[in-house]
Amino acid sequence: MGRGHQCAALRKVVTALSTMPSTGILALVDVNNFYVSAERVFNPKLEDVPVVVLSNNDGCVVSRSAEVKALGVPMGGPWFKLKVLARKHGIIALSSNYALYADMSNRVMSVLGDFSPRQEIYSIDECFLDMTGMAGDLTQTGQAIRQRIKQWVGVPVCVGIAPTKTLAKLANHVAKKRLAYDGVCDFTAMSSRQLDEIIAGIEVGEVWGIGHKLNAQLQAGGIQTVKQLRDFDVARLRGHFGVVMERTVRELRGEPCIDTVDVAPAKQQIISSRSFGRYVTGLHELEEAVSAYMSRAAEKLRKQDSVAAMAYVYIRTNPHKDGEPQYSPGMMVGLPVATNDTCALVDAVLTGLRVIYREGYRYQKAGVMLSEITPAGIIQGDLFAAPLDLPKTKRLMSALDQINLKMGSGTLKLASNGTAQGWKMKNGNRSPAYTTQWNELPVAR
Amino acid sequence: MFRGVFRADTPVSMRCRYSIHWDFFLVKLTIERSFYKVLCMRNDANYRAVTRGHHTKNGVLSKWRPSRRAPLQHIPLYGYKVPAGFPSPADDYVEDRLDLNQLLVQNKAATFFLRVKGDSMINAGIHDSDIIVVDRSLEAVNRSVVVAVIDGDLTVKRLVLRNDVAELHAENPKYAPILCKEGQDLVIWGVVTSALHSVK
Repeated sequence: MGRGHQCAALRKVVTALSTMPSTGILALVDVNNFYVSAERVFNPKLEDVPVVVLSNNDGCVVSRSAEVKALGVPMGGPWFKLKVLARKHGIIALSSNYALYADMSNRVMSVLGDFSPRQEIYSIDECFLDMTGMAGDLTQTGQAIRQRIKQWVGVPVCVGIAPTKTLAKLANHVAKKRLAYDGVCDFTAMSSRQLDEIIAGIEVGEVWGIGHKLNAQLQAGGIQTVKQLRDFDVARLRGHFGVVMERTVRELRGEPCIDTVDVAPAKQQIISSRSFGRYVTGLHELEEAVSAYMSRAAEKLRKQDSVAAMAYVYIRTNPHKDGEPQYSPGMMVGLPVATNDTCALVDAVLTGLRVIYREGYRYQKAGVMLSEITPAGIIQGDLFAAPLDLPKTKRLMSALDQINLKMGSGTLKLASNGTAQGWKMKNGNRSPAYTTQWNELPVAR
Repeated sequence: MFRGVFRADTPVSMRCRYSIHWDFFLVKLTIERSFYKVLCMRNDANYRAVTRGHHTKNGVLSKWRPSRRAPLQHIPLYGYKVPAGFPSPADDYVEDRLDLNQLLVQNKAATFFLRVKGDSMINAGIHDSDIIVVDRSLEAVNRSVVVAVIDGDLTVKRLVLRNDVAELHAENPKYAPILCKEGQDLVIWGVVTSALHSVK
């Protein structure tokens, strides 16, 4: 899906998501098979059976239970190709329920926020926690995190602990793949021999930021394991692959180089954020800013002909200002239907903003993030229509954006979008909005 | 108003319940016989001192951890210093409006609402189509009303522990208790804290 390209294009607008210190100990916590796990909380019948969650319009597999992974079903694989296999093994396929996933994500993140004064939410189901200076055995803390999230929210998580983000991702990978670790892997508690042994057994493609293409190039150059990459000559790697690779290698050596998340995440995201020129206190001004950022993000989304099913909005005070009251909330909002319609996306983040906004703080920055991005083609499937005149559509949409910005969102809408596109969507097997609709609550007998 | 940071050796005793709002909370403390209310931010130095300080027994605040309350819609800013022992009654009027979340939801992240089907808990005051408030962070004890998982379904029953054997009792003589057989795991989904019954 052109992740690398997108990332490069975005780097200009991507500014610091957070201000993690550049030394210390980090934990990466992420939810195992998040969507499937969220469904299982409310439908325990799905425990221990093979389950997949499909993208919007039931196109591709976007989440797999462990049982499905064991059957060799690939991530992102088109569902129609898997139907035979599914029938044979009784795989249960669910349509995606983004309202539920967004709510469960907010719950997980808020519980995790209790474990550290600094938290950086990296995607819908993973975040970094700063564990620097924490007393006691970090593996135990990791187990406490696992236990609490499992009990309070109901989903399983894994924890990777290491001095750098790249290593924490790797530790998390180990925690997930090797049962002996029981879901928590702390690189900082290991001897260097133990660590060497572990990373010598991991393929280089598992390293954060090394995608398919880089992986193939490294393999061709004889670098197959993480250990080989770590111990390779940095200067030569930089000459060959550039400074990003150098940073990755330094991170593998325990030298923190990635301050903020500007590595293309495994799942595609569009981030649009900016620090304000001055402090902003009023909701109205924040609304304007957030609307503008979202319009820009939506424009990008349309440019790559994609739709998003999840929007994240955050605001933050200035963390570097001592004595200033600090408040840096964020909220994930699930769209009812994946879309690239500016109005719907702006509405979503404004709803979120009004929930998290508190009076009495001086805000320094706001931002939005689109995730769960899929090609728009899957949603429309317009066999008989002429190919879209992209520049024209774009002009139309940006005119639309401007009018809506001036006149208030929702002033102008494409009639073709309809108010709800639900009728064209295949989402026959969507679970109820268990946690966000009064008339769809889970039932207890 | 108490300003500054608690040091670990500050003699502090916590007199009143603290209340916590999403990102900041109020600690009511006694420091050297004066009564203070201290507003702590989640990230500020007071919070860190209070939550991480290693206080001695005299200093009471050891192992202190804020409970989690649902965030209020409006966060009242109280007057801070209050004469020793007598909180100003005016403080109670600062709050804007009562919020049912505050009453019903102790732990926002762990609280779920479920719809009841059937009359098996009628004698516990839980009727058909009531909404129950379920807090997953609470430990179920003997005689807790719980939501449990039976054959993949969620069921609301009273947990009865007898000689280490767990039973799920209906509060309606029409239904027999569900006994947990040897080797069968009983999964408690959450603990019911309230039932909301519409009288319309």
